[in-house]
Parts: sequence; structure tokens; C-alpha cells
Amino acid sequence: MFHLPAFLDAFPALLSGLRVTIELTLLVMPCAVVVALLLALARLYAPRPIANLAMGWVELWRATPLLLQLYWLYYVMPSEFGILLPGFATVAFGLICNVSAFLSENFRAGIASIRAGQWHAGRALGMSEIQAFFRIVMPQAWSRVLPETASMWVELFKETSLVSTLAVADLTYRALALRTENYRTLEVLTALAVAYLVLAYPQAKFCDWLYRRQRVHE
Amino acid sequence: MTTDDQRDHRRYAHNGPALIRVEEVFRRYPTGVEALRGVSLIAHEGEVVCIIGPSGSGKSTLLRCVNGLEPIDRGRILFGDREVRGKGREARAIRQQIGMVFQSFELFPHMTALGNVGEGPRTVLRMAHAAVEARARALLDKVGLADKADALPLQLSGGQQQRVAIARALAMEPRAMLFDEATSALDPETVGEVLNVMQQLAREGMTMLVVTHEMGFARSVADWVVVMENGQVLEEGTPARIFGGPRLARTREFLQRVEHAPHDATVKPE
Amino acid sequence: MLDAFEIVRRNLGLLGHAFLITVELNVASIALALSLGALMGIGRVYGGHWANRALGLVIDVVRSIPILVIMVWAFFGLPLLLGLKVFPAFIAGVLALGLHSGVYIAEIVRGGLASVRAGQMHAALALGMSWWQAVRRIVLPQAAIRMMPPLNTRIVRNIKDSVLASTIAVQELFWAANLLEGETAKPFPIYTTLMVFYFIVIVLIARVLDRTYMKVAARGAA
Repeated sequence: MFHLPAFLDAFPALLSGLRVTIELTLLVMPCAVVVALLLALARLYAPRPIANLAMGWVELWRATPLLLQLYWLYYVMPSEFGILLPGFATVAFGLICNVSAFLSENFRAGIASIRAGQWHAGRALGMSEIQAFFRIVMPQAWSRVLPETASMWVELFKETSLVSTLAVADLTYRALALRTENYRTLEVLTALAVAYLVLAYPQAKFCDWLYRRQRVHE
Repeated sequence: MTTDDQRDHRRYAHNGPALIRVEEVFRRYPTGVEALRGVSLIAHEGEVVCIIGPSGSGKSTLLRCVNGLEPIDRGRILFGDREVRGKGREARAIRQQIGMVFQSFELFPHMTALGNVGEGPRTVLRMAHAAVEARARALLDKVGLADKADALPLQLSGGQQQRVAIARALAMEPRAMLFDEATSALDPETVGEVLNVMQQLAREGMTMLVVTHEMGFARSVADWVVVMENGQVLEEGTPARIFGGPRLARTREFLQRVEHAPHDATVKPE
Repeated sequence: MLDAFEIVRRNLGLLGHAFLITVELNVASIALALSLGALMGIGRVYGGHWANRALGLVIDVVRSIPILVIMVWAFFGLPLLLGLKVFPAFIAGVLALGLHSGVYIAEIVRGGLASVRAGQMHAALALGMSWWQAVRRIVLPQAAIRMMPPLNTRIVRNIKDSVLASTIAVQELFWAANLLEGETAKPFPIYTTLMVFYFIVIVLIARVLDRTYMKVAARGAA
């Protein structure tokens, strides 16, 4: 019933999709980290209206389904605003917005958890606020937000599979396409699951290790 | 040996039958630490036995073994005429007759003071709701906390929490009580209120096995004092003898150390 | 937005039905996830070394596969494996969502149980409780309170993930939205309305769950 050769043959066919998945993850994550940091800073230190705006923006992306967000961007931007981007760029943009919203929550909590005394100590040495932030507060906050950020990375790696529904030819898309070509549904889909498993499992274990290490340090 | 036997015999004649009998008990942790190395002791019905000694000497382990919360590797422990074993229905039946008070209180944080005290009668004895409540209220009154019945543990001071914990243990109407450093985690000013309750229990004739650093309490309330070190009984005797003239130099050293310890100095002997 | 009103008004029947499916899908999958998570979490903490290792492996495997892939596999692959001719998409959706949320909940349950000090178990046993009584009356209630914040996040997450069931043709809200978009070619009112709808529902549910936690939080304190 389970045809092993068909299962094994599926992997080479998935390779080109894997490239897209990895490209997407590598592109989105750094951008999302930068945006998330800006959002977190805006929420913590910007004047009230801007802080509230940032909060509303973050809530919007956190409280709606990612698939719906991607569809909205993909279909509404061209039809209503005349913005016609390639599918890859559209989903990358959507993922950056989504991931940065979740990350900003994490960053905000991490920065807020550093005692005011640390700021004061930095300022007392004659540092500017910006110096105090980058030299004193951020390094400490970073180690606290690292495990959660790494989890978000794994999460993103898996979430990129959603772009397959919008004709972006990632790993999942390739598998679903292959299925309709050779009708080896069970073998192809199992190969797809195994591909994700092999790629994401070490990443997930790495995250677990980061969490454990953090617990030891605190 | 003979002098020990004679002394034991005298205690027996004087104090009635043995309720807790620990015989040559060994306990080694999976980590390799030998917590108990051949410990024997006896608590007679109605007697207060205080176990003193430096930290890490195995006192707390011994208490947990007496209650069957921890298995023993060799030897045996008798409660009345029944052997204490770690598991099963029989162990539970014995535990129901032994109350235990912990250093860190271990009140159930999701229940009120009243709920904590009633938990044993309700869950284990399956008593009716009204009877549970009546017993719990009476016991809270006894430890002086009738007005705190509806408070959560979080809202109580350490001394109050420990008194609730004593009431919780008493609610099972135990034949004996084990106190595992019941006052060690308390602020100095609340130690007295807990010791008072313990002293009252002793006067009422409760059989008590008390692991403590409160030398004042041991001196004035105990009928018998056992000094432990490194998982063994160093020496034992009446408080007058242990505190008046310990036979061993090691006991003397230990007593000198604790009597001059700052935390003990704040506690006035009862 | 006038378009949206018009489209919603004309398709009330379809949308009402889709809403019901969304609710059913979430209730069923969250119930499955909670039972599965509780069983696996308790199994990991109290089941001994090998149960812990085995369940840990299952959890890590499921955690590493995207929910969309699990869903597609459950719908297309599972019936082939089981030799079933007919396999309702709804069942596949419930199984996939329930399993996926379930393994995350298992880790939450495990963490919650482990966070209850050993002394609490000792105190319960010292009263003469049986092991099961101690777990049920003393350990679980405290753990449950501490588990609530991450559990709430996971429940909200399950609701958001449930739109993926549209890809296997479960006729839930997002599926209906896509259907209407195909018919009317008006993505803006349709998707925007659904966005607003999900936003309101999820914010409301998150708030209710949060309030519930605040009410009992003090009882879970260490």
C-alpha cells in the first residue's frame, strides 16, 4: 500500500520548493526583528498617541488569522490600491508584519524587565540615553528574549507553508503539485511531513536548549 | 548495650507502650548520599521526642520515613504494632493516624484556611459537609485563627500559615504528630505563636516527634532528646542530661554552636 | 463597506452555516486538544522514564510539522492509510487541529504539574490521601491555574489556525469568504469584514479568558 520508491522519489522533487521556504524564512526573520524592535521602542518610549498606534497595529496582526492576512494583502492590494507585487514579495511582507507583531510583544516585555536602576547606572556614568540603551539595557534584554525569538523563528519556518495557498512555490506547494501529477498522495504527503520534520526538529531542540540554558542562568 | 537496654526499660515502664519504634533504619538516596545509617529510636504514647542535630544529619529524612513518604532500604519502622511501608492502602491507613507539619507549611494555596483544615476529613475520611466544617472551625479556633477561616494562605503570615497547617494535621485526629523544623522558615517574631500551639498539644498528651533547632523548646517541652549527626544517633537522653551534661564532645560542640547562633538567641525559652 | 453589508445580507444563510461550522470545529478540536494534552502531559510527569521519552518524541515530531501539512495529510493521507472510502473533511480538520494544539498543551500541562512543589504531594499523602486523590485534589487544581495563561494563548491560536481547514474544504467561515469572493470578485469588502470579525471575536475571547485567570490567579500562587 505504501510505495517506498514513490516516497523516496518525492524528495528530489521537493528540493526547489525547499529553497523558496528557506529564502522566505531568511528574508523575513531579520526584517521582522528590526521592525519588532522599532515597534517595541515605540510602545515603550514614544509619545502616547504613537505608542497607542503601535499597540493597535500589533494587536491587529496578532488577533487575526495569518492566512486571512495573506489573502487580504494578496487580493485586496492590487484590486483596491493598484499595488501589484509579485506573490513572493506580498507574502514576505505579510509574514514580516505578522512575525514582527508577535516579536515586538516579546521584546517589549524583555526591555521592560530590565530594572530602572540599570538605566540610572548607565546614565550616572555619563552615557546618553541611546548609549545606555544599546550598551546596558539591550545586551541584558537580549539574553532574556533570545529563547522566545528562536521559537518564533521555528514558528515562521513552519508558517511559510501557508504561502503555498497563494501560488508561491514553496515546499508545501511543490508537494501538493506533485500529488496531482503522480497521484501518490500518501507517499508524497508523508515525504512532505518528513521533510519538515527533519528540518524543524533540530531547530526545535535548539530552542529547548536555549530555554533550559536561560532557566539555569536566572 | 546493657545500660541502653536498662534505660529503655525504664522509659517503657514510666511512659507506657511504644507508639513509634524505629529499628536500625538505613536510607540511601539514588544520588548515593547515605541519609540514614542505622538509626533506632522510640517514642512512647504521649511522649514528646525532640530530634536535634546539625543540618544534613538525616533528621528530616527520618521523619519522612516514619510517615512512609520515603522508602527505607533496611531496618523497620513500627507504628503501634503495624509496620510502616511506603506504598499501598496499608501505608495510607497508617498515615491517616500520623499528622505531619512541614518546614515550608505546604498549605494548599488554592483552598482557604478552612478548606485546608477540612481537606483531610472531607477527602480521606469522607465525612459529611457539616461535620467537616464544624471540626475545621473548632480546630482553627484552637490554634487561635477562627477569624481567618476564609483567608487564602497567600493572605496569612508565616506563623498563621503554620498554625493552619497544624490544625490541618489535627483534623485527622491523629495518634501522633511529626514536626519537621516547623519554625525554621518563620520570622523570629512569629516563632513563639507556633511553639505555643505545639506546647499546648504536648500538654494535652499528644505523642510528638519534633525535629527542631529551637533548643529552648527541646529543653522545656521534650521528654526525650535524640541528637543526630551524619545519619546516626549520636546520643539520647532526658533534656536535663543532654543539655546539662552531654557525654560526647561532639554533642557538646553542637550545642555550643546552636546556643550561640544569633537566630536562636532571639527565641526565649518557654 | 456598503458592498459588504449587501453581500452579507444576501448570503446570510451561507454565512450562518459557515459560522456554525467554525464554532463546531473549534469546540471539537479544543476539546480533543485539552484531553490529549492532559493525558500526554500527565503521562510525561507520572508515567515513568519510558513513557516520558516516548511521549516526548511524539510531541517533538508533531511540533516540527506545520499545521497545514498535518491537515492536508489527515484529509488526503489518513483515509488511504486506513483504507477508508469516505472521510469527512470536518473529521480530518478536528483531528489535525486537536493533535497539533494537543501536543503544545501537553507541554503546558507538563510544565504546570512540574511547577507544583514536591512538598504539596507530601502534604497530601501525609493526610492519608491516595496518590490519585492527591493528584486530583491538590496538584492538578494548582497546576491548572498556573497553566491558564499559556493555555489561553493556545486556545486563541487554535481559533486562528482553524481557518486553515478551508484548504481541505471544511465549509467554515474562510471557506465561505473565498466562495463569495469567487462569485462577486469583491475581495476588499469580503476579506476586510472577515478580518474585523475575527479581530473582535478573538480580542473578546482573549479578554474573557484573561479575566477568568485574574479571578483565580491568587489561588495558584506558589
